[in-house]
Amino acid sequence: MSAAGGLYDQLQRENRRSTRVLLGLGALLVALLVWVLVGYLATPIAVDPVTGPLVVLAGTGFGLGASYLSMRAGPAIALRASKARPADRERYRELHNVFDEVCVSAGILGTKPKLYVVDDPAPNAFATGLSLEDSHIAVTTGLLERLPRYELRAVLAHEIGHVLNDDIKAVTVAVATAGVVALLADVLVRALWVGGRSGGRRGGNNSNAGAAQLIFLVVGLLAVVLAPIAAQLIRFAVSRQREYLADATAADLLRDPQSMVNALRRLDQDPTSLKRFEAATAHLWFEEPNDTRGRGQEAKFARRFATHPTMAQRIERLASLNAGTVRTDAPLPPRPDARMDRPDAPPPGTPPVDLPPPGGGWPPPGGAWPPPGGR
Amino acid sequence: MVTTLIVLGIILLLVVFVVAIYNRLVRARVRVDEAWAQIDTQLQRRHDLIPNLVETVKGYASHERETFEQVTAARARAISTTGPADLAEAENGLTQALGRLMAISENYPDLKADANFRQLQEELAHTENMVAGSRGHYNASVRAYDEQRQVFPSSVIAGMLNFEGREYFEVETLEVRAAPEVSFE
Repeated sequence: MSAAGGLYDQLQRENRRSTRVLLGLGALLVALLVWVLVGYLATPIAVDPVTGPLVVLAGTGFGLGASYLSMRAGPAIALRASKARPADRERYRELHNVFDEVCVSAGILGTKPKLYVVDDPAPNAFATGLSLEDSHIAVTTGLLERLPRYELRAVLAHEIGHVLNDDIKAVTVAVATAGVVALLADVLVRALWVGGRSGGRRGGNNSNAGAAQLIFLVVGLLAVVLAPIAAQLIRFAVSRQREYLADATAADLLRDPQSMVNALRRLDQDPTSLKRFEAATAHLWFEEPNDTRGRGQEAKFARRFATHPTMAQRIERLASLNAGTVRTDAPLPPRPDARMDRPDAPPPGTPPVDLPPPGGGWPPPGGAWPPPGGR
Repeated sequence: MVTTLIVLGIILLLVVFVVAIYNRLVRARVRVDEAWAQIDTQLQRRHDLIPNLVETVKGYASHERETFEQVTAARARAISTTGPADLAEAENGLTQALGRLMAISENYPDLKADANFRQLQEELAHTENMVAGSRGHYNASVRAYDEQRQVFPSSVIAGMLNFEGREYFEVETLEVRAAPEVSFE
């Protein structure tokens, strides 16, 4: 048990470190682009040992300031883009209960992330924010309808895992950096377009500067093509590995890998895809929101550019991490049938009219007595 | 002159090092104590829930007196117990008694249909999970603290400054883990 704990701790530390590396790489990329941009527009300034670094520093500061601002706004935008609304404690009582259980297991009951609900039949969830204190977790109504209690808990624990592993910060930073890089590349394209015509005259006056400018032109062209791809790659690097780790964190947190595996399997079987999501927020979700199943050209393309590993890969990883304790072929427990916080449930205060199904009741649907967990 | 400076520098470095380790130990200990307070809160919740639950079940299954008494006795014992090891045992007894109480509901369809009872069922499952969760977190905190107490070099400072160990909140035994017997006669 302690060995497993140590392994997770180590993975978590590495994850945090890679968040910092990512931040550094993003800053470097921005600096490089700024330097190329300055170099092309005003070659003497960029190659001068005094003004060059100064200008680049100022430009980079500006760029990073911009990405910091978009980072600050990121979580709020992500929430608005998905039309998430705060989950009402009375109406979504069971959701809050389950969420509290995850938070108490993680020891963050005092600084719980804020909980949101998205009206969407596709079962999915996402986490966003910058830190534990400023974190938000949203689930779709489809998820609430489809998952039994303990699988819902596993999904929430996965999202808490993203918060604890600093993934939300990494993702927000990556998106913001990718945005700034795209912006800079765009500016560079325009500069090349305009500068290309005036550059000839300047080059005639000073052949040395002209040669330097030519080099900057080539580098600039390369940068324009490569920078957005690099930014995109950073985003991929963020998402895929971190999904595995968040699955593992969730299973470890609750000591209940079986529910996590069951949740993944159940969602894998579900064909519903999200009604509305922005491509830019794809990496936030629990499950890849693009349709990556099937053999069609479109699905193949979606798979290649997926921000998430496939569900089958995730199940396999988790099962091998918890070899011997989880089953991937057992029939799934029945769906919830007496959920109190189903969206179509009567408002609080009125007694429920639907009678419990025969054989239901205790133990709670989808759960076992004693409840799984306990180290 | 130079040697004095070097010696002073080394002493300063050592002091900074010791302070850093000391702070880490204190933080780990605070975390353990906070986790313990959380267990206490959750157990309190569970104890508060039980009279209500027993009353509701009584309304439908008044002649299951023996089970009610067991639950009430287990609760009283759990409330009066202190210290992780003993408390864990008392709470395990309570968990078992509650399992039997809930199993009774299988025999009373009216009870199962009762809105109040179903609400209590959810609350109880929730509370049990909260207890289990806070216990897991407490044990993880104790493990982290223990590790720091025993690993060199922080073990030296822990020994000198008297960082005493903390007990684990022990784990149910195998019999407790097994599901309670449900009789359908």
